[in-house]
Amino acid sequence: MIIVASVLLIVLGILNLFVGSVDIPIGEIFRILAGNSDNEVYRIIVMESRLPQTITAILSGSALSVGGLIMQTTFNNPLAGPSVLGISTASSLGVAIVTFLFGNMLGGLSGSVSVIIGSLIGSGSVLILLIFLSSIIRNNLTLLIVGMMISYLSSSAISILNFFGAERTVKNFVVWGMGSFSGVTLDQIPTFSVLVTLGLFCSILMVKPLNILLLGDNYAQNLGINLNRTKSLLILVVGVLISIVTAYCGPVSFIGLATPHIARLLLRTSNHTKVLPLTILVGACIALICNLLCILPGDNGNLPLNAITPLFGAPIIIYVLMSKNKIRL
Amino acid sequence: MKRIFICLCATALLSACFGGKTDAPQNPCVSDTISENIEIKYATHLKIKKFDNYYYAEIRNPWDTSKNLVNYVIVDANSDSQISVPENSVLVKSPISNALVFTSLHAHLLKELGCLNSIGAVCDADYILDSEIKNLVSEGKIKDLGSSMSPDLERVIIQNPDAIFLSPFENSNGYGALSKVKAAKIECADYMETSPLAQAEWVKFYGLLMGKFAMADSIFVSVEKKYNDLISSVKRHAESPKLLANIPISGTWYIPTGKSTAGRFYSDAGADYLFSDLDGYGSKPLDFEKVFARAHDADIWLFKYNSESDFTLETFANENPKFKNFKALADKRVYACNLSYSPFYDEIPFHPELLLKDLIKICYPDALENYSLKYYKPLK
Repeated sequence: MIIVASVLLIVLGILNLFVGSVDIPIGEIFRILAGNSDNEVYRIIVMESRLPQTITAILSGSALSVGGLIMQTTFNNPLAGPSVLGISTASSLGVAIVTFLFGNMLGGLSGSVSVIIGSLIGSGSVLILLIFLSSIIRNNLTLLIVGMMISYLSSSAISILNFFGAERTVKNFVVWGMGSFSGVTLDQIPTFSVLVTLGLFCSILMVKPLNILLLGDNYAQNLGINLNRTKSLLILVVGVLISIVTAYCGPVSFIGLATPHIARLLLRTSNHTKVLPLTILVGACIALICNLLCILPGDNGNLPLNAITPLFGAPIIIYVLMSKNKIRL
Repeated sequence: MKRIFICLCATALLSACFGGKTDAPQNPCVSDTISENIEIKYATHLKIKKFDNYYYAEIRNPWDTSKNLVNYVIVDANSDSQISVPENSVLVKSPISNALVFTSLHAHLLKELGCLNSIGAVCDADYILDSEIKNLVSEGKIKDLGSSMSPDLERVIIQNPDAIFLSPFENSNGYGALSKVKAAKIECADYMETSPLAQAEWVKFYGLLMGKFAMADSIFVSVEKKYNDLISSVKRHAESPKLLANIPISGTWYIPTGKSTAGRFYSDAGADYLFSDLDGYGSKPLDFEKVFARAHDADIWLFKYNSESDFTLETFANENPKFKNFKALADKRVYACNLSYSPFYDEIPFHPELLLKDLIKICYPDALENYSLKYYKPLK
């Protein structure tokens, strides 16, 4: 299954480079990739737009999916996702503050460095708060509810800022909230790649404790696992992954929630040694498919990313809800 | 019996065909005769008829042009004549003396019509740029009733306006809580017009409401003449400058279509607007590659932004590294309008000639000698 997903990922990655809203001859794209193209316009489109967008989609899809997987295992809840603990909402709040309160001062252009910093500050603050809370709250459900309350508080603050915001600023924020893999520039790709890869690497290191958590908290404690420390570490990994993706791409819905279920359904197991690598690959594939679907309207413009992702997420969640007794985490 | 049945069916059919309720414009009183049709040359959503004792204004629904959004029977406030107002019309006594104005644009227009004293209250006072109106708000002579999206109903009732100027939107389903206020709701649908002069022509309607029709008419005649003279003055070259408008928001460019107000401004200014073939009347969301493929060699790049400090070429280029691939940036022909202090949206809708001057000067720097740009400034 891993091999099939890897092949699919490569095919989709190539498709994302070859298919776009502008028709570029296939031969020209090969020449561009080989560095032999004379057509500067096509070269810029492929190298400065499609390539960073493809890399961003792969890394974001993987990061969000792994985030969702860790959350579902940590909280023993199949419907837990990156947004549940309020990290992505806090990230949005950070961007809302930058856009609405300091927009005038910082220029107010979405996708700018100020937006990324705002997002990281927002999610980072909530992350620190959650790690602190996870060290004193022992009950998973309580922590989950606290996370949801943080999410509601952030949403409330965003609504207030939106209400008082100028029309054009509200539009900037709404468009950012639709999500996009095209906001990361070629210059930002190295930083983005290093941060996400680091987060993914840390998540791979957490496979063993994740498998033990599947057995239940009491069993895990009997096996010598320090539950509080493990959960804090897992929340840290998830938080970093989600914060980075939200900062660069906006809040991307459903991929993190649905992909772990697809991986488990394909493998018929919950063993993280197998599920986590497949989640990374499937998440990347789904993100690439969504990115391709965004350009479907052609001359009539591009669809926003968050209009596409529920097409994958919603059926999976319905399936999970209808057959939740059959799925074990 | 059969004949009676056929007659009944025929009557029912005929009444269904001709007797149903129609949204077609009707005179308020069938016996009234139109003494004059006020000439509306450009506006597509506005019609004004003059009767003996009143004016009748029809505002067409911009989202369903087979219907009217609202009709107004505008009577002289000092007249004693009795007018029977039909169900589908709103009675407005002119001049309006205590208006609640939702948009800074219309507040600015009322000021131009010399009716500053008739503005009793405004909404969204924070976004008003006009210093005189701002001062009156801070002195409390004009009340600030909060956000236009959700004005404070109690304060609106206390204010007791005789008219509320608000912007209609699609499927708004009435006025919400404001429907409880008895004041006439003036639907400012001018923003749905798609040509610069069409929106400007609405000044006639507002002039009528404020008892300043003659002044409003002369303002429009002047605007129309200046605008058309400017178009004629453009010495169109074989190769007009290629123009790109706007900047991306989170990777998406909202590009005005050729038939949009902005698109028409660009072509009127003699520019080769690179996206004039886009369908529709608003703007289209396009991705970087679509825009870059077409506009990488644009000669001129225009955009609007909101910032306390003005952008420079350096800050603009740093905002997005992809920008440096555009010829307009390399040639330093990027022009930006800073909305934090520029009265662009307060002035342009009713004075399109002012923007056209800017655009002509940008496209053809040798034209309009001694004119310096008012709204768009070159990035340095």
